[in-house]
Amino acid sequence: MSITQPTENPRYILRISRDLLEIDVLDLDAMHDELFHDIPDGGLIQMELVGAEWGGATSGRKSKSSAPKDTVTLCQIDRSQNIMAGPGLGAALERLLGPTGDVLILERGDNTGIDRPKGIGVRSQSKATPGAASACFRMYSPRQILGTGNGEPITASADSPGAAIRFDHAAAAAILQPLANLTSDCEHSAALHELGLQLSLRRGFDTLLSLQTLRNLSPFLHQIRTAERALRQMRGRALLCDEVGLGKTIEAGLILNEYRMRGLVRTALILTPSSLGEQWREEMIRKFDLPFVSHDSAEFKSTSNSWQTLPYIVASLETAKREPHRSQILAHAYDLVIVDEAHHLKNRNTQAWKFINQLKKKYILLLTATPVENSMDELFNLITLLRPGQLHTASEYKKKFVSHSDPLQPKNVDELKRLIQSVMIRNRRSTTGVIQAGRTAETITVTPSGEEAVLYARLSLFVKQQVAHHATHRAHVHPFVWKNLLRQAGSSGPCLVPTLRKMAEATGDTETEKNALSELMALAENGRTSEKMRHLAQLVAGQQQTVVFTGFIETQKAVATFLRESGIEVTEFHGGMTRSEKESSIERFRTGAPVLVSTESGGEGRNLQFCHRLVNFDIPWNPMRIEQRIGRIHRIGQDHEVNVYNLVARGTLEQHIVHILDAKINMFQLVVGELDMILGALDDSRDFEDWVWEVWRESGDDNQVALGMENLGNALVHAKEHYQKVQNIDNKLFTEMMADD
Amino acid sequence: MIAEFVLGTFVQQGATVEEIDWGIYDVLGPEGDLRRLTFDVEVAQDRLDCELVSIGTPLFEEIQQVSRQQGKTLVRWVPMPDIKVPGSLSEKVAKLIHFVKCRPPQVVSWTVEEGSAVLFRFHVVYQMAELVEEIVSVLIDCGLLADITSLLPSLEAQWFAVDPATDLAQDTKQPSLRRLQPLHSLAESYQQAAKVVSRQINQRIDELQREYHVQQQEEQDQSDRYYQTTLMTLRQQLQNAVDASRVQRLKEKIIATQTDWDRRREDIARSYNIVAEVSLDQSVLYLAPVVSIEATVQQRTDRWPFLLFYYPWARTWAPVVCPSCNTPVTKLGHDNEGWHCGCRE
Repeated sequence: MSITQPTENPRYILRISRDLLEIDVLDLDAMHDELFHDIPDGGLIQMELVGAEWGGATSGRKSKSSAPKDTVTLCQIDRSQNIMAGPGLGAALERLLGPTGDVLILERGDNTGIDRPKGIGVRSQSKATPGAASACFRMYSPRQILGTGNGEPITASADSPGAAIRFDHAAAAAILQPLANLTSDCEHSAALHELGLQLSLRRGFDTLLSLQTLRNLSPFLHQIRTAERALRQMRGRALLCDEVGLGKTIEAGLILNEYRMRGLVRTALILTPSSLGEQWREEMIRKFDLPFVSHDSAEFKSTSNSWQTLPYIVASLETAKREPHRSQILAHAYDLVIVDEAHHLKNRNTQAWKFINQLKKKYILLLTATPVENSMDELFNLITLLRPGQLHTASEYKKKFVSHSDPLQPKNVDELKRLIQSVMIRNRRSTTGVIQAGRTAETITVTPSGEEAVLYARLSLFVKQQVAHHATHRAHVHPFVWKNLLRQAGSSGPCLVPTLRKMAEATGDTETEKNALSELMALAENGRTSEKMRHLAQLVAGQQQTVVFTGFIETQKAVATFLRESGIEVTEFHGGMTRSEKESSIERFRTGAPVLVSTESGGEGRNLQFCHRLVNFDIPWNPMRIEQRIGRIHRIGQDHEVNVYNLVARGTLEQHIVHILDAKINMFQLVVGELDMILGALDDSRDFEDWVWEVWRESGDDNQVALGMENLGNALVHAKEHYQKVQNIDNKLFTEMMADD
Repeated sequence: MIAEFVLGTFVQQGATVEEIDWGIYDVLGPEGDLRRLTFDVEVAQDRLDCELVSIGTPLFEEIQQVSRQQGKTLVRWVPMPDIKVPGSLSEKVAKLIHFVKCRPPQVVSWTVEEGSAVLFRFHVVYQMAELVEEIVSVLIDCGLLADITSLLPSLEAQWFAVDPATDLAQDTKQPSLRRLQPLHSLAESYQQAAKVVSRQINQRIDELQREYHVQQQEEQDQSDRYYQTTLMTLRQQLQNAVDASRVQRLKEKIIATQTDWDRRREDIARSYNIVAEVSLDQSVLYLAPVVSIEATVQQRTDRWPFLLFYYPWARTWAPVVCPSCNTPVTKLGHDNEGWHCGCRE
């Protein structure tokens, strides 16, 4: 269209009132007056409605052509009423306007006269008799000028290699179509739309988005800085080497969350030692709302093609690197891979190292508090997983950066530091300002009453018989059930009742078994109070606030009842309570109730550092659970020394457990996180809990149990010594290399 | 701002909002559903009965989806009942554009018309190692297909809304009837806007690539050197190897190293590759007066008309656009086919 020449027929935008259209009358306003100023009162005008079907189409007959037909109507101007009327005018205008439009374009044409209408209207223009009609007009929808259509795709310009611009033309067409009708949304909606978009604009990693969404977590400054550095400078490939207890898990979670919120990570795989998988899963869910699934969970097993289908998976490295999982995992591309305890990858000739190296991933985080244990080569191997060539080749690295005489002594430290700082982040307790109060622990060994001792002994015998003889009608019973029964016995009598009752209801028992079960149930039901409970009451009466932990809800109820009957105010907390009940309970404790009796699942995620006394009423077999209980009160914000009391009954397996943890490795005096490291250094692939069970199962008598537990204790000592040695090397090496940090 | 946005959207959807405590809002939906919200993380930590709403939370994303579906198109009128046309038009026109080998143009007449300009707001997402988003606005004169984005502030200061909820005839005070300027379609205007925004995006991409070029090159060089040296060593070992199983192992190692290298190259390329996804987010059609000025240009005995335009709302001239290639020009020549800027030579 040339615009250098003015057009012949002027066009105008007109607002159309629908008020009188149903009677084929158009209400004229001041604008219309101006347009029709030269038409006399009663004068006729020829109105052609472009693209509007003739009114006869409403009879329901399908039009033969799909293209809209033009309508020509002779209309009359009535100046006294300020209207224009014409047969079929209303319906034609309605069709032209559509359901929401209120604006049309009016074009003034040549003055051409036509015959007067004979009936309801004319369908075509005939040769005019000059002067019969005052003027000729055409009306059409704005979209017939403004129109829309999809544009051609726009491709990258030639001088910008590697770049591409992709337009979503379909979305543009959807927006421009209503605009072509001059249809407008309201300004308020538009303002909200614009505000919403501005708020959600992601402007790079300058601002961490996830900080505003973390409800159950307040990251420390060093954790935020680590996440920022890994995102901005390291582009998601980093070795996180904070000292123990500084929260590498949180740092990894922050990084993952930032990528996820930007749509850069949709799939993530966390590879951990088998003992830590569940802990990672729980932390990711609780702290970051990330729905990780464990590879040995029912959900994983019941999902087809689970390695490819599930977006967030936690798996043990041991399992993942072996078939049939290995090939499935290697076939899939993950956006982010996190490897915990990455010091297991220190040797590049191992299957584990090669497996991680072969994984298809966009981003990778390696977490370890000890990147170097025995040799500087270990550092090279870890960093090569992130960026091959960062430390040159293996021989060049050795020649340039490692002393000939001592494989742990670095050379050319400044240059080495510069190279590793672009892939490695290490925070130290001394520089992060993370300070914690100390803690003390006391183990109170309680002599059980006669009945309690009998119950424990008989139950132990029953379990041993069932497991050893593998009773045919209970062959299907998972070993976990027997383990749990023994743990319940170590907790309290009331705890055993539901399990025993269920067993008693099972069929197939011999007469002896039935009698044994009945006797056990009777003993358990009679044991509503216990010596441990009496000691507990003495421990908490008249003292400062105390939280009492137990692993079983039946024990929790029994303990709470006993304490109340002893005149001590108690508030309870367990996983089965509603949210508001939980809130009320914590609030009552916070505002002065002297004792909170809680199960472990009820205590997870709750911060109780306003209290500094804790009683372990029973002892979990997994020491990490003890650590987690203590962690509810021993954390940042705790101003007092934390006092931990362990109640154990003499002659029980729990007595042995506490003994080795306390006496052998001084567990209760360890820095937060060190227990984790020590357990990780155990030279055994079994869980600690399983190890305890094996010892008990294979022992004939209590002496053998004691001997077996002593061996376990020695293994722990050995693990602790190894850990301390590694810590010393680490401190020496990184103090020198990171001195300026 | 988050609160303003979220609560505003709820109200727009028919909900009622009550602030029951500091930072805590009860929102009663039109279907009777009640939500208790807070926008403060600290309040959320103390009050577990409140749902935290912040960027990235599910409710925020949901509200965003709702608001993104609305408010995408607007029509705005610029009334300007009193329009001042600059004096000495012929002189001003002569300074605006030079007609090659012609006498200075003479203004014959001028008229005020209804012009239109469309504001295209593009949402641009740069995808690279990180994600960067921005809004790029482009204003196109639909009559000239000219980029007049620099005049947007002037236009924004003058419009009033067409609000379908009100009585338009009374409230909008539609201006005096003005003849509609000949317009290009919205599709053509959009195409023009896309070209403008593409130029800007390409510039931005070039900047980003220059910024990261050294880093990318360094990473690529390090990786290449590592793999080249490793492969060289392995090949030498293979040459010297005698034992069949060792030969086999070395061959496998060479293949694995080569695969690693290829994968690493892909990783690096992907990590530094920049792609821009562009979508039209919002569009505003402005109906604003334009003064259409007809001038006559004489070359020897030939006389041709030429139209120029003036924006009274910005008190500035519209760019003179070459009728052949649609680019802004300061010089035009005439041949048998009409006016051109030299683009036909």
